[in-house]
Amino acid sequence: METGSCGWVRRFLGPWKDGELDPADAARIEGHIAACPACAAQARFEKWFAGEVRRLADRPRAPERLAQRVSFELRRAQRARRVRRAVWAAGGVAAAAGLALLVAFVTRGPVSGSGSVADRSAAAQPSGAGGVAPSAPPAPPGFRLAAQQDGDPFAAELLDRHDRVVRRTLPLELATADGNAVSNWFEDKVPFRFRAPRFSDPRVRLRGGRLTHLGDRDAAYLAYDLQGRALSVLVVRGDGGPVGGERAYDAGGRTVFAGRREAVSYAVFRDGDLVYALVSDLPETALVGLAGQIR
Amino acid sequence: MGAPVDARRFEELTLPMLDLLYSVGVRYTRNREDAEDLVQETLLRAFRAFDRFEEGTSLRAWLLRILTNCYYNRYRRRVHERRAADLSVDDPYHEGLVSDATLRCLRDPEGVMQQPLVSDELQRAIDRLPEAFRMVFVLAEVEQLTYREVADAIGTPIGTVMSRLHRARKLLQQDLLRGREWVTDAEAEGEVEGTAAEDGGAEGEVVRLRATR
Repeated sequence: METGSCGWVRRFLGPWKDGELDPADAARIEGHIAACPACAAQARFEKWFAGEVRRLADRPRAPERLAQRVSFELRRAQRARRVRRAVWAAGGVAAAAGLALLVAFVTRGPVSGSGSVADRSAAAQPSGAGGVAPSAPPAPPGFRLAAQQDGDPFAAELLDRHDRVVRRTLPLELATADGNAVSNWFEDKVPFRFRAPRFSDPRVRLRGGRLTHLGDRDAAYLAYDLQGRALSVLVVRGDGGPVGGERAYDAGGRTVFAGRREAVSYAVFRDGDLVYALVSDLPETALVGLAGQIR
Repeated sequence: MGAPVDARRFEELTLPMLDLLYSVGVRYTRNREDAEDLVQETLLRAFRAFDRFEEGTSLRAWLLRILTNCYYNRYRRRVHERRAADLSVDDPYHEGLVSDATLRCLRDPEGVMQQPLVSDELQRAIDRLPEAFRMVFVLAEVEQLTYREVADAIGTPIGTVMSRLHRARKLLQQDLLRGREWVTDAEAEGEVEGTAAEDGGAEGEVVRLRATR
């Protein structure tokens, strides 16, 4: 195709129209158009078509919740970065200990030192949103740094699963209110046996479940509803590792560790070999109360 | 190279581009929920890798490059599973469409312009474009990026951008205006690969693009 021919001009009308051509080639095209009515009509058509595309093409605006989601995730990523820096800055033995604890968070859930719940206040089993008094468990410096100042990865994972199911980016794989059906469904999907938790509060209704993971472990995710508010329960094998959290409570005769961040609460407790974690936007003490109800 | 940036500063720089990223994400994935996840992942990756962003270059092209890579790595399979009938660049139907009909020339372009396009038809026609062409068309024609930015965003030479954009336009025009009387002439004009001189292109047509913006 000869430079300056009709074919050449039509081939490059697009870049010419977009203002992308070198001035010399642009001038060559404009000279041709001035003398060629057919190519001039084609040039007008290309401009018209591009104008129609700009006028009509849908350019959806980002929903407001997306900015909120991104903002939330960026701050979470920033906290995680600070944890890594703080751990490395600690140096030597302290760094090694901190890393080991971080690994423990990811693989076994939040960790607390032995005796960390020794001074927890004994509180009656709560009803509704009150009745549980928190006390801060003593913890080794490495744990406190990671879990209490900058957020621990286990809790972050719990909140992430809850958030994704609530937003339906992780759909339920089984939708039923039948606890036995849910327990049976998980039987060949997770490497442990458990019974779908039942709450003594009759307003808590099972919705269904799905397979998920926490760290590198398969976990059972169960969705509940409490008068229109989403309650997530995650069950994972604890493999003997300790369980801990930002605050410790006595609830229903069991030790429950709990915390709250970004308007979402979590509560974690051990039952035999299994670790149960509850996540909801309910107040922290109400969630602890629910954890104490599970049978 | 840039330096690590805190979340607040990163948001100030990037959130003004959220609509752009989302709009492109919707066009890539053709699904609004997937687009939200895609944009979130893109911005998180960008945040973590911000020290690799070269100051003085186009931030939006850099973000779109990450978005494109995320799309290829994570979402493309899911999208393709949903759209099994999607055409790819190598699809015989597509190749036949381009080379046989060769994107016919207009007999009466002035007459066509008397009838405005219909928005819904345009959206559907853009979605029907083969993926590689759709990406370039959306970035250049809908979002009005420069060819250099498009090339950076999708990681191809600028001549490839030009060539794909040309074909995308012709496919769209043919698709949208199929029913109109004017599509009759069989003049060949779509087969020659455009090659930008800056790509060092030795084959096909060579055209000189103006200095990169």
